[in-house]
Amino acid sequence: MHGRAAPHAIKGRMTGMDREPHSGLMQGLTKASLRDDLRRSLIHQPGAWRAPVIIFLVTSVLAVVLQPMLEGEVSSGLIFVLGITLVGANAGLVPAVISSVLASAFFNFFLADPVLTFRMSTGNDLAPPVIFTACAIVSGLLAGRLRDRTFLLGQTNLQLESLLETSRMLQAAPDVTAIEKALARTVPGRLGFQLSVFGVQQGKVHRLGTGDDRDGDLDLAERAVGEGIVRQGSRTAFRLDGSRTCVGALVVDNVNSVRVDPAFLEALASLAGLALERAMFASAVAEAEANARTEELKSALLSSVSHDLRTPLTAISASASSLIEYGNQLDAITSRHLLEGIVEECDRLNRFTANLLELSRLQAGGTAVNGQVLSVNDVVRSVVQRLRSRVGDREIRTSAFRSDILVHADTALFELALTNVIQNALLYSEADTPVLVHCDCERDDCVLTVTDQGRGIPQSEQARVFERFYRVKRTEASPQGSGLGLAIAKGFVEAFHGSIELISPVIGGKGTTVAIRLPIVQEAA
Amino acid sequence: MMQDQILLVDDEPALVAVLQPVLKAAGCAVTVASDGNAAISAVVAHDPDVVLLDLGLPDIDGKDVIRTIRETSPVPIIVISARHQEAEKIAALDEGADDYVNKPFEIGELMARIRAAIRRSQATASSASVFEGGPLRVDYAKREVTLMGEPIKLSPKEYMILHALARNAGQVVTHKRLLAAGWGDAAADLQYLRVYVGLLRQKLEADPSEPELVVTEPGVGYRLLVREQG
Repeated sequence: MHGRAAPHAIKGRMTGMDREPHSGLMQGLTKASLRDDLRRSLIHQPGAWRAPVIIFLVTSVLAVVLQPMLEGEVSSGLIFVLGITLVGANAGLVPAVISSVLASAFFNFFLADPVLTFRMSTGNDLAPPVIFTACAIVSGLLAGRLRDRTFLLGQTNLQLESLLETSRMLQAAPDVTAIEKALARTVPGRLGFQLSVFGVQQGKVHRLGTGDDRDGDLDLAERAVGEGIVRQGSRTAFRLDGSRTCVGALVVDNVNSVRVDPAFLEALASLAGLALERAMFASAVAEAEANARTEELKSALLSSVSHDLRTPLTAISASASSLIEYGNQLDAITSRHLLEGIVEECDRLNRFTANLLELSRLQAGGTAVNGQVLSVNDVVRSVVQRLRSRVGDREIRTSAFRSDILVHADTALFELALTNVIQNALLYSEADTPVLVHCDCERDDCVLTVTDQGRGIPQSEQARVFERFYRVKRTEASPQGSGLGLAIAKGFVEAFHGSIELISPVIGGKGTTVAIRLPIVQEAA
Repeated sequence: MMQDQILLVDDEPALVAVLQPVLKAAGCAVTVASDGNAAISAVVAHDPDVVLLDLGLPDIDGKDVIRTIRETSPVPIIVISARHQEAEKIAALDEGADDYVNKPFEIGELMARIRAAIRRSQATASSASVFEGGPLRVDYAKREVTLMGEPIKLSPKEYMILHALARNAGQVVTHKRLLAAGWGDAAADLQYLRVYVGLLRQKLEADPSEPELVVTEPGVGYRLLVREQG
C-alpha cells in the first residue's frame, strides 16, 4: 500500500534483487539493495518506521506479559517470531533483520535464563535463544524479501503503466505544444519536474512550445544533441532521436529532487523523440499543403488573368479587324453589333481590371482601404442606376428603404462589391426574371440583400463561391463571370467588420440571396 | 463555289457573336457548338470542312474532343488558344489538331489559317504529287525542289523536313513530327532539327536570318508560309 500511494519512491530496477529473482536469500542483502531500501524507507517514507516499531514494541510487551501464563521462554519466543514475520511483511527486509537482531537480544536479556543478563547459563539453556535467533532471522528475511518483491513488482508495474499512459498521450498530441502538455501530465511532470522541449532545425537548436525559457536549458540541450545525455545539477538533458536523425532535446529539471529512475526518464525521452518527429513531419506536410494551395491560387490567378483579359481582347481584336477587312461586305446591323461588342468588351475589361486592382488593395489591407461614413441608400441608388443603363431591359427592383442607414465603408469598394453581387445575380438568372435589392435594419446591422430567381447554387458549392477564381461548374456556355466578384464582396465586408452569406435555394427550389451585413454607424447626437 | 462549312466550338458568347457574322460575311457557313459534346455530335451531323476549337471548354478537355473527332474524321482542326497554354497547344497538335491561333488574333490571321487548312485537306484528298507555293516548287514523285525555277540540291534529311512542311503548307508542323520525318524518332534531339532547318534556310531563303518561307513557331514547331495569290 505504501508503494502505490507514493510513486516518487520508484525503485532502481538495476539492483541485484531485481535482476536475479532466483538468487539466494542472502544475496538480497547486497550493498546496493540495502542502500536503496534504507533510502526508500528513511528519506522518502518518513512514516515507514512507525508500523514496525509499534509491532515490535507490542510483541515485546506481549512476550513479557504472557510469559508467566505460557510457562516457558519457547512460547514467548514464538510470539517474537510472529512479530518479526509481521514486521517483515509490513516493512520489508531491513526492518525485519534489524528487529530480529533486537528481538534476540531482548529475548536473551529479559526472557531467557538467567533473566536480565546476556550471559548463557548452561548447555540446556543455550538451545532456546540460539534456535530463537535463527528462527527470527530466517523468518524476518523471508517475510521481508517477500514484501520487498511485491513492492518492487508494484513499482515496475507503475513505471510501465505510466510509460504506457505517456505514450498514449504523446500519440494523441498533434503538435509541439500538445507534446509539451502531454509530457507535463506524465509522472515526472506531475511531481513538479520542469520539462522543456527543444527542436533541431537545420543544425540549430531552438526552444519549442510555450513554456518559460530558463537560463542554461538551451545550452544544456545543445550539449545533449552532441553528447546524448548530459547531467548538470538537478537538470538532465536527453537527446531526442527520431527514427532517422536527432530531432531535438528534452531538458528535465528535478526541482524538488524527487527520486526517479534515470532509465524511466530515458524511456520517456525516446517516446518524446518519436512524438516530436511525428509532429515535425505533420507540420512539414501542412506547410507543403499550404504551399501547394498558394501555387494553386497563383496558377488560378494566371489563368484567370489570361482568360479574362484575353477573351474580351480577342473579341475586340476580331471585331475591329473584321470591320477593317470586311467592312464593305458586312451589313449595317452586323457592323453595329460588332461596334457595340467592342464597347461592351471594353467595359468588361475595365470591370475586370477594377476587380483585380481592388482585390490587391484589399489584400494589402491597412491604409490602402479607407473607410468613411456612407449612406447605404446613396450607394445602392448609384450602383443600381449605373447597372440599369448597362443591362438594358433587365429589371432591378429596389425595396423598403429607410433613408438614414449609415455605415462605415470605402466608397469604391462598397460600390464594386454591390455591383459584383448584382451583376452575378443578373448573370446567373433568366433574362425575363427580376433581381431584387432590399435593405433593412436588424438590431445594429444594416442588411442588404440581393435576390435572383435563377437556378440557385448547389449546397456543396456554396462555401466555395467566395473563393477567388472559383466558378460554379456548369455545362452550358459560361457567363462572363471572372470568379472574382464574390471574393471581393467578401473581402470588402470583412474589412469593415461585416459579414456576407448566401442563401440558396430561396423559394420553390430556385433563386439565390446574397446578404451583406454591415454594422450601422449611429449618427452623432 | 461551294461554301466552306465551319464548325465553331466556343463557350464565350462574346467571341461567337463576333466570329459568326464575320465568317458568314467572308463566305463561310457557320455552325456553333458551345461545348465539347455538342462539337463531337456536330462533326458527325454537319461534316464540316474546318473545326475551330477553343481549348477551354466547360465540359470536356479540348484534347479529348480532338481525339474523339479523329477517331472518325480527318477534318482539319484549328485550335484557338492563349499564348501561355504552350503545353496544352502542343498536346492538342500531337493529338491530331492541324494548326492553332493565339488569342487575341486578327481576323486576317484566322482566315489564313482556315484557308491553309482547307487547301491542305483538299491536297491530301486528291493526293497531289506537286507542291507549288510562290517561288517554291516541290515535286514529291521526283524528289525535286526548285526555287524560282532553279533546282535546289538538298540532302536527304533536308528534303524530308521540307517535304513534311510542304505537305502541311501554311500550317504549323510540331518539332515532334519534323523529328519523326527526318530522323524516324520523335524523341530525337531538337538541336539536330534546328541545325537542319538552318541549312534549309541557307538554301531557300533570300535572307536566312529573316526567313520568309520556313518560319519558326516558338516552342511549337515550324511553318512553311505560302504567299496567297489574289
